[in-house]
Amino acid sequence: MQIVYLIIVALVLVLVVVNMFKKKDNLFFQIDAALVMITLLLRLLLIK
Amino acid sequence: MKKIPRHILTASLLCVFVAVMVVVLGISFRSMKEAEPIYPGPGVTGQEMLSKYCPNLKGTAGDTEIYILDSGVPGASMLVLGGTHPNEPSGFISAISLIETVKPVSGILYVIPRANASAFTCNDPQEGSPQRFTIQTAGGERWFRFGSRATNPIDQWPDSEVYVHASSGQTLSGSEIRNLNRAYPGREDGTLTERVAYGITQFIKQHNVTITVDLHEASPEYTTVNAIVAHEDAMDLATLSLWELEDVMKISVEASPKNLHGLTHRELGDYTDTLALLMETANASQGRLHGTVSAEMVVSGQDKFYYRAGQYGALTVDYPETGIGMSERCARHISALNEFCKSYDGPAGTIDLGEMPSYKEIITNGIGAYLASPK
Repeated sequence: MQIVYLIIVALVLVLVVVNMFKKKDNLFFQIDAALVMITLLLRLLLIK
Repeated sequence: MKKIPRHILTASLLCVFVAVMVVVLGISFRSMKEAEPIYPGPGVTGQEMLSKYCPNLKGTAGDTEIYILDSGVPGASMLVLGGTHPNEPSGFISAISLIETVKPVSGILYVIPRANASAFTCNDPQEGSPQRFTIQTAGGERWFRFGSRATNPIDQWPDSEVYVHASSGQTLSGSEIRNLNRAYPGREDGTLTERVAYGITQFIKQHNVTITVDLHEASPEYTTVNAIVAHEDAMDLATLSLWELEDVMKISVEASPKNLHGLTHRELGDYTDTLALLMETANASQGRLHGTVSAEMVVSGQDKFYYRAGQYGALTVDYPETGIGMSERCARHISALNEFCKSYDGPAGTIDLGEMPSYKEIITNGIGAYLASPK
């Protein structure tokens, strides 16, 4: 079961990163995305 | 040379920021996996791992130490569970104090100081609680982790929407699936939390443990606080002990509800022959009315908002302006454990913990006086 959730986390992380690089002239969106990435990465690496 | 678009540059810089933050936070979070040292005292005659009683725990974050303090004189036995909820530290500290200072005269004392070892490796989310707190001992300061109420989600994840207790069918909130004190009697092939519960249940069965006491803390506004919760089989023992304890502290005895499943005082009493008891002291860092939960507050138990709540009559315990400190909370636990041993008069013989500090001595000298010095 855990592996399914990790795949979902990885997928969401990829989408967040892609969106962050695509978004033009919206620094606040990019900062939001970066903050979300921290939590997703910590979970994907099974740290927190 | 082609100029890099501004949004690509900012996104790249933010990725570097994310990487740095993940490293810094990762080091901090992973540091919780380092266990605080416990220094076995002169009474400790052996040590086992819980995986001996549930092999499915071997190599997992749920495996934990069992300290054995065998007097060598046949008699009754007592198992003390500390750290069922690692955010209720007086139970954990009391258990460590027993390991480091007690030398039983008759019977056997078993202590599992970190009953839910996995829950020591994380904090509860959104609580802003400290990772560690310190206690001053005769030979210097010692540090201890302030963990979570539940198993680390890294070790048991995801939670189900609804937690169905295996042996009763009782349904609870999904997050309770990681609460050790809702998992008894446990399952050999269940979740990590259920396996820990199963190991403890099997330990009690195999050693025919006479008395089991699970040490907890509760918020000062909770109804079951400064209390002994007893399975019906242990009610006589709890009541006898209460008569003695009432001379030095305000304390009550409550019956274990028959329809509340998964808890030690219910399931261990139903599924084993042990006399199952649970103790609660008042801890300000537990409740919903406190201010900042700092490492100092965990130890001092002092919180101005709880004091005000007490003035309004909103609490179920007397809450002085100086708070309810760790020493007083441990004094309650340790005095009661000693009294359970003194009051037991059953077929298993006697259990005598030997020379024990009194309630007043622990408060006067501080719990640090009954912990080993750091080495």
